[in-house]
Amino acid sequence: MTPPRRFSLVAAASGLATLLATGCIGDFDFPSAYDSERLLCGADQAAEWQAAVKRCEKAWLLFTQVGPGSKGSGCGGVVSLRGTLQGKPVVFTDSQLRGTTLRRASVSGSTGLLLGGLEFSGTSPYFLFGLRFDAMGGLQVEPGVRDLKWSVGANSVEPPLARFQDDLVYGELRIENGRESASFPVLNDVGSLHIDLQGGKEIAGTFDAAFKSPSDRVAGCFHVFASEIRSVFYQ
Amino acid sequence: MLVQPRQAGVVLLVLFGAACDTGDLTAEPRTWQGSEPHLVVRGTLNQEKLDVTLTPADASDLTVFWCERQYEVPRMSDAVNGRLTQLGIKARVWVGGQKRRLEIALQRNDLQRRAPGDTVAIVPRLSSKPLLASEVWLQWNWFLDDASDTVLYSEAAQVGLFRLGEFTGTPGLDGLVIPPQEGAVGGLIDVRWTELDAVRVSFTARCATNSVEKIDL
Repeated sequence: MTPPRRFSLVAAASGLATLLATGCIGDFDFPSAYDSERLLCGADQAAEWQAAVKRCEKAWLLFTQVGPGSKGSGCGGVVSLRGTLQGKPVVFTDSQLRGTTLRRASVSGSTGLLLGGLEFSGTSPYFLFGLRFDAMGGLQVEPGVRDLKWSVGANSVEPPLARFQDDLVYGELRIENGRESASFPVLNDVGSLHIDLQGGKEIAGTFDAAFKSPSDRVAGCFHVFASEIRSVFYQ
Repeated sequence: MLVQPRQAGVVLLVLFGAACDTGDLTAEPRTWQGSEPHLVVRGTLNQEKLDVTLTPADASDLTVFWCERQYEVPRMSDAVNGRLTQLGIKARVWVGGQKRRLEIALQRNDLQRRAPGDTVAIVPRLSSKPLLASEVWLQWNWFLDDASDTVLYSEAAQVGLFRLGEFTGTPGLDGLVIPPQEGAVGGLIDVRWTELDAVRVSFTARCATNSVEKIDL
């Protein structure tokens, strides 16, 4: 029962070109804004990626230490991704995420606060987006790397302590175009979330995920800084 | 660039709307059906006719039908300065021979502080547009109710109304959080996603669980 979208948010941008092309204007090539975008997750782009992360960190520090009255609007992190969404190829890098919310989980039975989840939002050439990872688990600061498997049910594992101790994670992509929004939960068993750095207010990693349908698959990398921290209490 | 093709689509839908199945606007429920636990869902969503009514026994069973309250409390503040940020209405139902889990989330409106009979407007879930106090987001999720937990549908509504029937329960010592397993919420939802997708829901659900988020930074 795959829900047919009567209106594709991702395809909307190319709709105008189609409308024009089928009208009286004749052949008309509309360059895609994605043409000027690149994925910055590979080894060849490491220097460029690190520079973007450093710029963002500087803005984040200024904003979080001085407060909203400081110069600039802060930075919630950097994300770069490439893949297919709603049947359309997408590629972009947002080097100034609008914000990142980090959730800490306070769970009875645990000796310390755990990493509950992560939610960051940004801007692509044609839509706003938000990526959310829930039930990530582990301590706030974890040495080494972690590999987590996508699971739609990761949020409802009982008891709550088990939810943050297993290797399951819930993922969701939300996109909006100024008029409407749609969410795309990550499918089970396709791709994974790899955490390279779980360092308190700073989290970095890579992901490979199918959003809502196996053909809508996106891979990317992220390095985020918490602009908001929330503690969630579980009994 | 995004707007023009969209506007063209709206015009087309308006022009041809009379010839289309535009969702059953005459369907019951037209009013909230009272304080007894109940769930009635009628309409069309995702090209699927919906006609769901829980039996009184199922509607009173917290493993079949329940509400979840989500609160947030600002840092360095008493809970009484916090607010309800999300009300989740959850049910296990059968639709088209399929056992599903329904989750309706009413988000970003402190419905706990509203009076019975208050009406709030359901508006598109857009992070770029701050909500007015008289507005709420509505997210509708269908899951397969089996081990796979497959997401069948997950969309925020575009337009509609929510009329609060009741919000009962007494906050605990913190002055905000109604203890788990206490209180109930009821109301009428009249909501649209597209020209074709419109649903009405009357419900009263006993509340089972809470989630409390403390904003630390």
